[in-house]
Amino acid sequence: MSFINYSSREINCKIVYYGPGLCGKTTNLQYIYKKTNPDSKGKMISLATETERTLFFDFLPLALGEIRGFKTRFHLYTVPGQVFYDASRKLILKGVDGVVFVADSQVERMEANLESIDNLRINLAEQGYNLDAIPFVIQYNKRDLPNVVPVGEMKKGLNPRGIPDYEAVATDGGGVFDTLKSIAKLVIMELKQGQPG
Amino acid sequence: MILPCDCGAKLKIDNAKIAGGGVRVRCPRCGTILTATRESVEPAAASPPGARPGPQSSARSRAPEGALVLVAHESEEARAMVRDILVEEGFTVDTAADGTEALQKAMESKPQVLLVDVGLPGIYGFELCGRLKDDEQTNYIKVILLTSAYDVSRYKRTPASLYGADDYIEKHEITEYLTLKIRKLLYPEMFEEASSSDAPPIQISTGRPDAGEYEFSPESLLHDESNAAAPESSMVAGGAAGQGAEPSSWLDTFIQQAQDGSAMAPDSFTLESSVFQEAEGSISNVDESDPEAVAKAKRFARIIVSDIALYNQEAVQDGIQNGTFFELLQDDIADGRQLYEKRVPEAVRSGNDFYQDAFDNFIEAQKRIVR
Repeated sequence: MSFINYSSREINCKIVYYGPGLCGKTTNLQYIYKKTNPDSKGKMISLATETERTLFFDFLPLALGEIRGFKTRFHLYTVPGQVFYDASRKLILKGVDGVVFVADSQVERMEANLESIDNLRINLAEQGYNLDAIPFVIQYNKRDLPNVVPVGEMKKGLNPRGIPDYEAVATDGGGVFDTLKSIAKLVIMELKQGQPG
Repeated sequence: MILPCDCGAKLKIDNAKIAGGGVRVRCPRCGTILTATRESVEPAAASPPGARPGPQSSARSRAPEGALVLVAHESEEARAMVRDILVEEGFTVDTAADGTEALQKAMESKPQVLLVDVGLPGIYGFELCGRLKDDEQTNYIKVILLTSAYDVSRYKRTPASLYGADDYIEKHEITEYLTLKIRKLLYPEMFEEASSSDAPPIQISTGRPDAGEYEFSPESLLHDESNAAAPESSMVAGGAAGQGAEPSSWLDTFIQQAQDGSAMAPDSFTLESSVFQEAEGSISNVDESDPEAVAKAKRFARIIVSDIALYNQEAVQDGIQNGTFFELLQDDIADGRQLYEKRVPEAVRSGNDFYQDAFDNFIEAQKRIVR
């Protein structure tokens, strides 16, 4: 749940980038970090391994303007994607306000996408969240690779409800900010709906 | 007696088996040869904080009793468990349930060590660490990050950065290694010098501004042969004095535990750690009577294989080319099987070994690509 600090007039929202191992979650955050005004961002924390694989999570605080006089700060997180790290994923999902599912478009990772999105649904449900009810967008990443699944097929498998989805090449930034703007908008809409007046 | 090895193992040695000249033992974990000799340690008499031990006491161990450890964890049960372990070992413990409370207590009570859960609510563990390390008033505090990242034995990597923390520990290691890690941080000299029986007493600053200095002599744990002639009664007396009473220091605890020991064994401190297992909860099982269960089990097996291959591309290539795939990746494969068996109901697993099938199919596919 978003954290509202009335004394400092700040709203803190938590967005989690979820997806299978090596799908590009960290690359999304790195690009956002690289391209964001230094005044708008905090230090990017990346608890990664020596081989740059996300170990616990990445964390990037990002200021995105004001809502009714409250500074809105988004905290972006990634999860470790490998099947082995489910305990970490559960931990990181605690208090989430919005989820970006980063799918790896390569044909050999389609099963991992499906497993990961199932896992997301289960882990959210364990904490009382319904994936169909929280702000949620999907990104089809690595669209520049030769062995990708057609977007229509990916939609069929991963996005039967037709939620906002975007094609992306996170390494060069394509689709990264579209995805971020979309989830931020959904989270803010949710916040406004939850506020009186 | 308990003989700590630098690798973290604790060897329990029956005092009766230690001859006058000592006994040499090999650490079963790392293979290091350690020498255990008869102890002649008396519990150190209490002295006021800041008091400098005289020449007489410098030949003995001055226990670092009472070092304050702040334990920050969301779970009350986990806090209680860690507190019990540390108090038992002679530490003073305070606790905090969230990041804000932990920050406040760290500023006010100035602990020597902060054990902080990475996922602490309010302020994350590494953020808290950053704040304390950036502040001159608190940057001396030794910070140990507590992680819950792993529920497997080996499938892990060492973090490239701890964001200023001095060490980290995984939850399942708490009972075995926490006190050792704390001591290594507070009294590193003890571990560097422990093998040198001739080393002079070392002055150790606790880092706590008002706690004064303690003195520790490594001989207290590993006596040289000249000390081996000292009467065993001193150790017995020390232990007897402690019987039925609260241990006055971690060294006393060592001695007490040593007296209970009848055989040499590593990992001899096994305390209840189930409170941490909940956080490592397993993934929900599939319904074993559902025909879809088989398809799910197969898919899960393939994904484990895919993940292992993705993160070990070089080994996979070598293994396929040289026929050493299972050898090169044996640890990962074993961890994967553990996860597979945890997730897939036995009824589904008992029919076919889908996990092995997934590897066989993967290797076949890779060979076709190579051809």
